[in-house]
Amino acid sequence: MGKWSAMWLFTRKSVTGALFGLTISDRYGSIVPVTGSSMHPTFSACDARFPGYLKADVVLVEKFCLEKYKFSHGDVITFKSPTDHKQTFVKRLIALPGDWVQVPESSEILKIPEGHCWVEGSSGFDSREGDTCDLATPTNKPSGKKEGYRENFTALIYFVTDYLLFQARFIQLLNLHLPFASRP
Amino acid sequence: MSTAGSRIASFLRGAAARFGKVPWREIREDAFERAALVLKAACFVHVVNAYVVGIAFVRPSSTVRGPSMLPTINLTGDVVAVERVSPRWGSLAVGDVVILLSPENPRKTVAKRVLGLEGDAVTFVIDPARGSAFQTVVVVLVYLLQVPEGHVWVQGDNIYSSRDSRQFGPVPYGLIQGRAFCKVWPPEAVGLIGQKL
Repeated sequence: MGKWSAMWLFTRKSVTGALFGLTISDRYGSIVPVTGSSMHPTFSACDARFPGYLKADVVLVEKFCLEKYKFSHGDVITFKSPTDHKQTFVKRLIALPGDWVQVPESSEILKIPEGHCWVEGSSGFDSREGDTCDLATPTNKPSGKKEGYRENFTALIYFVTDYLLFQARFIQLLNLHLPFASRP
Repeated sequence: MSTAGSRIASFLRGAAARFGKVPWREIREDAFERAALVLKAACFVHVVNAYVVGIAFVRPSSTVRGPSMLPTINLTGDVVAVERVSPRWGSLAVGDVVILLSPENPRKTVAKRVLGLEGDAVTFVIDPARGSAFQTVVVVLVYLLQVPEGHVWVQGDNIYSSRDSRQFGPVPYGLIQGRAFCKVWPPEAVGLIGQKL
């Protein structure tokens, strides 16, 4: 009898703990390991599979900012990949809605539409350099230069800063789809 | 004077004794227990709302977004029950009504119907109002395109007054918050939301 009641107590405690943990990680902040090299000077790259995964930089992600929705240029954010909602990306916020951005490696200049933003890997070490292969972001191919930047980001973003003080934010990323009606 | 002083002193002594008799320990434990219970309940509500089933109020926030789901969802706004399981499992189907963050303002949620999953070819009419007005001259502009990977094509039911994928293009799956499956309020409109196309 004592064994069963102890087990019951243990399950109850763990369920309560899970409830608390989920709520806190959903609403206030969580911990995210960063694999992939696109943020190299800020976060080091590591193998995305199991043993190497343990060596990943672990960052604290803060989500209070999702309430006010205020972001600034240069914030490091995490967000759901626009092409695969199960993947999470970590990138630096370069331009906010209404800003003008020059598409790298081309002379095209575009205005960031409402509700979107422009993100890149850490400055100085991203797919512009040519030889970086991003483990976590297969869309960020070194060869498909334009593709890397034209990632169609309309996603959930959390915000992370450089050191171990992190903020999570919720924003929509760049979506370069022009309004369909205005397409040729 | 001395009697008054001793009276005050005895009153204070009595008050101290009574104060000492109050079961502070029990009160503290009880308060702590109750607060923990409230917190647990709040966490439970959050988890159920975020992972299993929740309630969303679909309201006409602007003239454009208001009537976009007109035959299905009322102009004044309905309360719908939203289940979060099928978007998470990736089992959304064409025809489902979904609640998603607006791609133009991420603080807003809108209700739309999924009309194409990734890889599907979608045709749509750009300006249906113009198309019906000049039916003799066929000016119905029809587009054909393929929904890219990880995206869905969403449209309002009221194609004449809806801001949807026809304007902002296919929408990433990550923006979908849940599938609306049941109308809860107003009482005369209670019922399931079907996969009508």
